[in-house]
Amino acid sequence: MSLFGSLDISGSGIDASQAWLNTTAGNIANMNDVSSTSQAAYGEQTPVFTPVGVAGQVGDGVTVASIQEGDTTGIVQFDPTSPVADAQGNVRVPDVQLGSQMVDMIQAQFDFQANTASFADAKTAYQSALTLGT
Amino acid sequence: MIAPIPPIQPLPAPPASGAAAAGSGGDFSGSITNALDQVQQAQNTASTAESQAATGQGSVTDAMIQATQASLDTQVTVALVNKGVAAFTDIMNMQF
Repeated sequence: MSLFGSLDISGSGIDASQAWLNTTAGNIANMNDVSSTSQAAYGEQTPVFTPVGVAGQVGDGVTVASIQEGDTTGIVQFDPTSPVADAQGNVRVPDVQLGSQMVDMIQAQFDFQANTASFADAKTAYQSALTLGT
Repeated sequence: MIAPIPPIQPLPAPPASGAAAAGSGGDFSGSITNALDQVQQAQNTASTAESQAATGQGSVTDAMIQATQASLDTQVTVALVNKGVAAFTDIMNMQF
């Protein structure tokens, strides 16, 4: 760990929340995807966060271990005008709820803001340490 | 009968204060030079991260974090240099 370890730790948190924002944006962007019933639908993506470092010691922050893909079964809808509709007129759309995605995005945004606030506080603390003895 | 006078023992060697000081941490200019080298390295890392962020190859947050670390490194080194120079000036102004 470098001289200013907490800055790196806050940076890893910022990177993690940015990944969360990216997956949420991807989910919203793919919300209206339409695929034929013979193919899988778009699966809702969720990042999996794991801590970095040895247990029992001060860690090195957080990392995105993997991007979990949700249910690709989706929802079968009746849409005979779609060019990918099957013989019965059905298509497969992703099971992504806009409401829960927006809530996830607000959570990721607050996560980002909390990490930047912790970063700024650590910087202020380091700078105030330099004024010791003056 | 008078006991013979023992020969004079040689004085114990004085403690090598200079060598011990050099071994424990080096001189002031050497440590400041090392610190400035590391500051230079941090600033090089920061400028690399900034150019990567500007060209879209890195993230802006990484560049800002590297720049903040380089800035803090510089502030620490400057504070230490100022303290050392102040101590030197105090000794130079000593009145006898």
